[in-house]
Order: sequence, then structure tokens, then C-alpha cells
Amino acid sequence: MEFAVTNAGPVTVLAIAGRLDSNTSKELEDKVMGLITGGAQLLLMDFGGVDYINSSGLRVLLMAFQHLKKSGGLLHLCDIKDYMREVFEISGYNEIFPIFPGQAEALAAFPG
Amino acid sequence: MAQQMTLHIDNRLQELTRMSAALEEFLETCSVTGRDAYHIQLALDELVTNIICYAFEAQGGHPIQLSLAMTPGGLDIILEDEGIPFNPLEAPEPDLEASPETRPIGGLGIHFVRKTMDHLAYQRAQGRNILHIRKNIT
Repeated sequence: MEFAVTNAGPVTVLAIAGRLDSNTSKELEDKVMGLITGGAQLLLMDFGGVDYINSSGLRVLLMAFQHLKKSGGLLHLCDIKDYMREVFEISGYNEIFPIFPGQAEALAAFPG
Repeated sequence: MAQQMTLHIDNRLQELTRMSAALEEFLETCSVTGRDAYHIQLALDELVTNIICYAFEAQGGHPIQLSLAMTPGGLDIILEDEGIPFNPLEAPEPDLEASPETRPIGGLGIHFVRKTMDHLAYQRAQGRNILHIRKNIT
């Protein structure tokens, strides 16, 4: 599991690479919660390098959403492979997080 | 002759990596790729993770047996363990209508299995949980 954090104006961009499974989701959880407790309010997670996600990975996304929501923050997702988008739909998570094709569209959709 | 594989997994989370690699190799041999391969990886990941985390008092030392057989039109899978009786078909459905702010975190694994597999049948026999799973492949 590899992470790259960059800033695009007020938005924190977290690019993720690897498999998001029961063994690695804790790494993502620590990374994301670190960014949120460090003050990130507008967060974009780029799934371009992710080739697998299971329920433990989705669990981390819902947790991040709930923490951001409390402080008025927003979470956008982008570049999720089609076969993985299906599990977002099965779980109803596609209605919780706005999902965009790429970073440009996801960044443009943040307010301000 | 049907293509078959049997895998013995110890009830430790680290074993999931080995299972995933063995599944990938088997599915490639059977020319199962893309969305179908992901569904099978996901369903078995969720089910075996549940067994590892909840079927026994402690991790390690309890075998889980996974048998796969490619047949015309689909893949037949049998998952067996000697843990506490657990019928995943009776697990409650997650509340997908709950507000996202308060929605319980978790409970999606079995839901994915139900949605991505075509047939599921559970039996408890001789102290074992035996789950038959069928994935149609066209």
C-alpha cells in the first residue's frame, strides 16, 4: 500500500496505490485519520492505483466521511475502476461520496 | 476434465494474501478474468475473513478448506470450517437507507457475497460449516 499526499489549493489530495483488503485497510485508516486530525477539511482520494477493495476498505471511507462531516468537511473520490464501482453501488456508497472520473473533475466540484 | 483446486487455509489473516494469489492463478488457468474474477476474490475474501475473525476463539491452528471446480457455465465452490455454527444466509441485511452520518460501519461483507454470487447453500454437518457457492460464468 502506497500513499502520495499533495495539495491543490485548499484540497488535500491522497493518491492510493495497492490492494485495499483486511490486511492493508488499517494503513489507509491511519493515513486518512492523520490527515483529518491534522486539519484537512476538503479531501480527495484518488483510486487510480487501487486494483482491489473489499468491505474493510469501504469501512474506512465511511469512517472518514463521518469524521469530515462533523467538522463541515467534504470527501470526494475519483478514478475508481469500473468493476470496483459496482461494489460502491451495491453498498449504496455511491450516494454518500461524489465519485468523479478524474482529479480535475473532482477538484472542480469542491465549493469555492 | 474439470479444472479443480483445493486450498487449505490456516485461520490467520496473513493467509488471505496466499489465498488471493492462489485464486488468481487458478482463475487465470480457467480463463476467468475481470469482473467475474473480482467477484470471486471479493466473495471468498469476505467469507474467509469472517471465519478467521469470528469462527474460533483464537487465530491460528484451525484449518479452513476451500475447494473450487470449474464446470460448464460456472464455478462451483465449497468452503468448510470447524468453527462455531454460522449460516451466512441468515445474517441480517445492512440498512442501506440509513443516514450516512449515522450508518453503522461494517456488515457489508455478506451483502457483497449475496449480490455477486448466483447460488448459496449452507449446511451444518459433522461439526462443520459447509457453504456451497455457485458463480455463473458466461
